[in-house]
Amino acid sequence: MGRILSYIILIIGLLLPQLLVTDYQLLVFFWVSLGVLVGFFFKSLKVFLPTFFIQLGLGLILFGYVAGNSTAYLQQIPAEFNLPGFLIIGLAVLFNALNASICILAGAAFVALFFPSHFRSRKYVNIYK
Amino acid sequence: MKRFFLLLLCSFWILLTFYRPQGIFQSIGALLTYNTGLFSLKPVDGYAEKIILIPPDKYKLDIFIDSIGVPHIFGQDGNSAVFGLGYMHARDRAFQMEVISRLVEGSLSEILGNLPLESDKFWKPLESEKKSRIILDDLKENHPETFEHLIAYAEGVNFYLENEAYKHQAPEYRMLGISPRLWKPHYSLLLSSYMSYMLTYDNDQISRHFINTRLPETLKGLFDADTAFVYSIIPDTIFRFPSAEKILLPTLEDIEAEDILLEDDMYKKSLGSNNWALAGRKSTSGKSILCNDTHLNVTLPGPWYEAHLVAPEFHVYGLGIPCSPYIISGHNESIAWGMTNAYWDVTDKYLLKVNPQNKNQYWLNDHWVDFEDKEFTINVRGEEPYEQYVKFSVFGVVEFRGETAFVTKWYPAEEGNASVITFNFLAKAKNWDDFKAAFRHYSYPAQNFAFADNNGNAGLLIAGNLPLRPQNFKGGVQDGTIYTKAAFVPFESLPKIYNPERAYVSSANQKSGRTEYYSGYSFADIYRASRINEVLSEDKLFSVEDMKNLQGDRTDISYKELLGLFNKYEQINDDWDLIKQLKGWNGNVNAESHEALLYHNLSSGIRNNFKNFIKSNYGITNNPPLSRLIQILIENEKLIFPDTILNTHSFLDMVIKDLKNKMVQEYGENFIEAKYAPLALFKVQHLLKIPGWGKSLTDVGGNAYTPNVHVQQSGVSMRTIIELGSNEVNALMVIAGGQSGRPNSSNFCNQLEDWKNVRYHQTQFSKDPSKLKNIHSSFKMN
Repeated sequence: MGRILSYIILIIGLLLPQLLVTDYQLLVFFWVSLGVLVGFFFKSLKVFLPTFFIQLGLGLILFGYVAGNSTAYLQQIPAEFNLPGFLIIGLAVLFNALNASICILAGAAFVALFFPSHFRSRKYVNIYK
Repeated sequence: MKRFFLLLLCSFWILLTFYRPQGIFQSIGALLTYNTGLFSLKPVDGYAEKIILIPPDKYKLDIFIDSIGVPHIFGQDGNSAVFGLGYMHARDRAFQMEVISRLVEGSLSEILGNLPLESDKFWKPLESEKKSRIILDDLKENHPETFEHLIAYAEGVNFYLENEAYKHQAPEYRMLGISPRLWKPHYSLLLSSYMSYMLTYDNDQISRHFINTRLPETLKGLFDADTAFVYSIIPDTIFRFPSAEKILLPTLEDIEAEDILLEDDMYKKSLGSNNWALAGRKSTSGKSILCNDTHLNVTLPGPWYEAHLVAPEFHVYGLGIPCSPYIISGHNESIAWGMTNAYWDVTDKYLLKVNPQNKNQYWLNDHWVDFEDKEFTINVRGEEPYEQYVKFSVFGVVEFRGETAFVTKWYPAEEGNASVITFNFLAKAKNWDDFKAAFRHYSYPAQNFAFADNNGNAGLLIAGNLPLRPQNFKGGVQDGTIYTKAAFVPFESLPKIYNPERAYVSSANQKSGRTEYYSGYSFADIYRASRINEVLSEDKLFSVEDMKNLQGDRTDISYKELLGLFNKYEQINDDWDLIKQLKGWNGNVNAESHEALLYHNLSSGIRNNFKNFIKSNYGITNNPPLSRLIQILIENEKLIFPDTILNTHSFLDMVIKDLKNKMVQEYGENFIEAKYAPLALFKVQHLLKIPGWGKSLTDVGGNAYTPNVHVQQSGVSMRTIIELGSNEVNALMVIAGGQSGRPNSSNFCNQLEDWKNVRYHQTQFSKDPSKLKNIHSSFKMN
């Protein structure tokens, strides 16, 4: 149950700002803050991979499905350099997965660095489990 | 330590995502993230139908948008219709409008960083924004209807911008990470300065001066339009401008400044246009026909926007330019009009005499006068503001070139410009008299306006301000020690022609007519005009289909004269066989033609070789017009230069040798198989030159001398054919690009293929909205 809750928090924390926030700086702030929360509540630095895969899935839905046909004009940009058009979608999905994961990892690393006692004081929880 | 490095690495990545390409675009992170970047943007057109909007109380209108994005705007009054046009312009072209207005204002750097700083440094001291505010105040007083239209247009633009959903933002704004600025009514007045710059700004007066003062007698007419040209715009009439004879200012003998940097005059030569109007007795239908195709730098979006405005005061259809509340080339129920550039010279360059004891003074009207110092601030995005210090003389901004001080007085900037009034009157004009009267307020850029009406009449008026110059002035640099207030050719004296015997009028940027008085030196070479007249003067009646063929005509008739020159001389060697390859050619410039390629290299070769001669001997950088060069070479077997004598026969031999070398060098030994295709490739760039948002078109064909003009990135930017019946108007139109300026719109470049292939769409000119077909979406505003 705890694991499912962790994933739900992560998914909502990743998705909502992407849909609601229109300022990139604010979005990064949200994601780093989410990382801080993850650090405090889950007391783990092993957040990178789950975030990466969750965001990869969310990215595929957002960029590939929701954006859909309206990205055709963007696909002309790589086509200008004789590269396949879908490359720009792939790049965006991959970049977002990496970016979100690193922002959250940064938040968690911040907690781990500045509140080491907090990290050590409670029982270690691995959010994968 | 491990955690510290992990945090450091993450921070480094995060910082990296904030990197802004070229300092002006959004950060990489923002661009590639779903909601902050380009991926969540939705096309604005076709996303909903029958939308009901509540505009400001005074406006009531309906807008029906057809399948290619043309708005049909039905207003309860003229202001409502113009409000609707503003709304549609903002919806489809907001970014383009902002670029145009900021360019003229000198504030483009505010959104594009230091890239356009040089442009801003040119425009800022002209203070166009301040002058347009003054003109707006004058309109309020003297032309309240036009003033109200400008207000309504601005409110229409802003009504759209203020209600635009974030997901419908134009991609360019999202890329730059900025929001559109709200439109002020006087911004619309900046458009004519923008057009005037493209069509009238000359900065080669020093070179022109050398042409006047240094060339030997035999070459005197090399750069002048042929006064004996039978196809001048208004033939068989000698124009006199009486007041011009009163001006007796001295002109300069010569300029002692070999180190002066000379500009090349190449870039503007492909800009121009064609128009012609057939009287009813010249057409198969018995109705008059007006045709217009304007030639400008072709970009995406292009300059033109098609619209249909219906109001109790007017019913008008045609092409306008975003920023303007009016149709600029089009028709109403009674008349049609279209324009070409007149190439009247409205730029004067003055040589100042600077006080050697005090560099802050210049000699004017018999005494030393202080320069006026002004300071301008140009805000540069992402950088410190640029402080510009400018010295002003009575003629305008002073430009120092070494020890020499010049002033370039560009009349459209000096005088301001209220030409917008004309298009308000044209929308309501019913006949030739109304048409002429509309131009009483027209100033810049001077244009050849063709006219046709639904009674079978055709005419042409050359309208605009033509400054009065000293007697015997032939262009070049003027004496800056004497100042008199500028005066212009009176409106009543402007050249015009109405229902001539030949039953048609036409213009293709050639010289206006026969006159002793100086009007300019940048007129287009005669071949395009000759070809159009060659066709129209045929003893036959013309149909709309014939008009299409003429607009799409890619025949360069200059080859006949050039071959005539070579045929005058004996063949010197085997290289001359190249000329024989052109004997069976009909002048058609298309991608599959080898002859077109060969001829292109021959004609540019002869001009370039001759240009090099006169540049090295006289310091003149201008390109000689091909027709005058051929004429001089035919008339002179020898030309005497200061250090050498040019034997025409040997010169032609050198041209042919160069041609052979160039063909071998560029296309290999087997160059006979090379085609014109690479030169027929036409690249239409996006306004911001974003890769992938422009288009490359093959087999566009044509050159600067063909009616269907294409040179590098300039060419035909729109085509209209309007046949005026007594009860109906049959009009065909196409624009280079599409109605929308948004790269994510289906109407962004949907007309490009039709434009390339000289295909048109039939316009819908009905006062009854229920008769409109292919309506894609509609807005009800009340």
